[in-house]
Amino acid sequence: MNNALEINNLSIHYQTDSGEVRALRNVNLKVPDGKVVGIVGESGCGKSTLMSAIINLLSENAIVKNGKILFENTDILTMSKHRLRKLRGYDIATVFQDPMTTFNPVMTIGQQLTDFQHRFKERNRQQKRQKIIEMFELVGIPDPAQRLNQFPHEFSGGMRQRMAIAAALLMNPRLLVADEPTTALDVTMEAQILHLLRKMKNDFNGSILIITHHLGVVAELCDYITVMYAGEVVEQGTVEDIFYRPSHPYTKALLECDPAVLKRKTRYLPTIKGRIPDLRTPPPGCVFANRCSKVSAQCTQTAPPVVDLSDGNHWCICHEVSK
Amino acid sequence: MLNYAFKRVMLGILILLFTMMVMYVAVYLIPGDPAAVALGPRATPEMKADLLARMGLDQPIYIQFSSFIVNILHGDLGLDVWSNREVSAIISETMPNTMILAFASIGWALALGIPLGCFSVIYRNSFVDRIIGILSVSFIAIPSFVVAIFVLLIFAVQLRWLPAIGAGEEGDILSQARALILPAFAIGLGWVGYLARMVRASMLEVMGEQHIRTARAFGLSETRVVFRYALAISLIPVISLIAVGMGGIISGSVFAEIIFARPGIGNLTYNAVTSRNYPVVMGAVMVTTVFYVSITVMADLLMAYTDPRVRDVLK
Ligand SMILES: Nc1ncnc2c1ncn2[C@@H]1O[C@H](COP(=O)(O)OP(=O)(O)O)[C@@H](O)[C@H]1O
Ligand SMILES: [Mg+2]
Repeated sequence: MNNALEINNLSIHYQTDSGEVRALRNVNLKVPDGKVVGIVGESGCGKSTLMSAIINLLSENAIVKNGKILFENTDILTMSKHRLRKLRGYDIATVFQDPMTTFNPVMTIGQQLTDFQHRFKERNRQQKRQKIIEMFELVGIPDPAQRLNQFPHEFSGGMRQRMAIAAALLMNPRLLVADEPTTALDVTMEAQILHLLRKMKNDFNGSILIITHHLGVVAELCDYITVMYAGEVVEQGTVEDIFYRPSHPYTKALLECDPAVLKRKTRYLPTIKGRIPDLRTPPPGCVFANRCSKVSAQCTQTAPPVVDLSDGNHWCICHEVSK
Repeated sequence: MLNYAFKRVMLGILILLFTMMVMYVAVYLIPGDPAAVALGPRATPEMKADLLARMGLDQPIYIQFSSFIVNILHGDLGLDVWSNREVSAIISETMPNTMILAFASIGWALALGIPLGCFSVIYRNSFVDRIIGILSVSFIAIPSFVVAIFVLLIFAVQLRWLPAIGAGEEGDILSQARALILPAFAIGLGWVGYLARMVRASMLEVMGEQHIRTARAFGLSETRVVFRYALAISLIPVISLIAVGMGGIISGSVFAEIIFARPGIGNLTYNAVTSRNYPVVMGAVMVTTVFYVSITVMADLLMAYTDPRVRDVLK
């Protein structure tokens, strides 16, 4: 099976006044053709950094320490400007995390989404607008024809989120990368969007990389799941592997905390105790050691090994599991 | 929006009233007997009294001021003390020259300064950016009257390409345009540099915003991102600076009009002050203040209009 996207050994640091933030450390990830891969993990574990790297639009203070991001066997991180522009918004479409700041505040939504279709030379202005209207209907924007002439601030957060998704879908991309695309939505809307993404996956045979901190979202949609913690991938596997045979203590803890997966009735939502380590000085051993319930002396000293759980499809990094 | 516009205009009128009052008091407080200064030592008391009456200086100051305001409301700015012509007539002859000069100066500065600022951003931290930066700072640093004298000497006196003095033949647009080139160049040059720097700084800030990343993520070219997605937002703070700067442009035109012997409000004010022609001074100051205040009001309205978020709040 071919991979739409392959990330090898990627490490990215941010230069700041208070030191280097090691936002990503040796991340490996594959997105097979036509499959949906979910990335889960708490805030601040490097998910958005990974997404910016995929379209080579990292902040100016980011440094790629090592690694490659392969799209059709070409490294995105060293691509020519010309090839990059073709990649962005054509091969790969993106939905950014914060819907409130995604759109230009002084241009109408219609102007912007028409502009974004600049690659489709065969469509004239009227047809481009028609495409937007159809897509808006699909994502549930009422009255799309009128609303094209409105400015972003005239829409609610949820609507902007849906318009961002519509913009990405308009591109008919080979790979859709969506950063927490359902965070600003209520439960019904979230279900609708997930349905839409699933439908898109079936219709056009593209691949999807979806980032979320919410396991329930990925369960519905994904074929594979990557669990990230503090800038590292700690476990990777199929949806079944992760939900039915979780191995890494962090994955287990995440599952226990997910309201959709809770088995018993509780008064309080459980959370994982402790906090993510400071990424300027990540611990020498396992990154999860300070919060892990099964921590041993070894965990705080040496980096955990990769444990293969099924022919390289399901693996995690953990001293405890390796025993 | 209408409500907002109304408030801005009312504020403008207040500023105007205040300026006139300050001017009036300033003129009143100038030491010495204006009639004696104006007529020289051999003037008879009758001549002085006559002149004071013509200038309206024989009344208490509050009466002078209120009758001055009432007259203005009737479009009457008084009489030129020396020629007895209507001040309003003199001003309506000279003011257009100054306005044309001011708009030509800021116009070419905008036309060049804004694109230079944009190119600095497109090629930021490169050779092009540095060259533009060095040029801009030099343009800002040279005083406009120095530029005026230099271009006058080079292009008018030495090369004889352009006229050295005057505002061109009446009714001959081409000759008027030729007479405009050197003074407008001198006044606008500093503004080219200033605008290039301003636009660059303001735009670099905008380029860090998330929506710019979105535009790039959809494969739009850097040129398109800069000119279509960043420029309008970057210009919002620049508009108010230009409006404030119009005050500087008007003072710049005083120099330019004197150096190029160009009829205009600057030249007029200068001559009126030196000859103690107070009605003309007051009239000229009032008209320039009206000009300046209306530019500021228009700039505020334009800023509000450019930003749809503000426009809606003001509805
Ligand atoms: N531009 C930046 N400069 C410095 N640090 C950053 C920058 N962007 C993100 N970070 C840091 O990198 C880490 C990962 O951030 P991010 O990728 O946004 O995580 P997530 O999307 O999972 O919440 C965080 O510690 C964050 O503070
Ligand atoms: Mg994020």
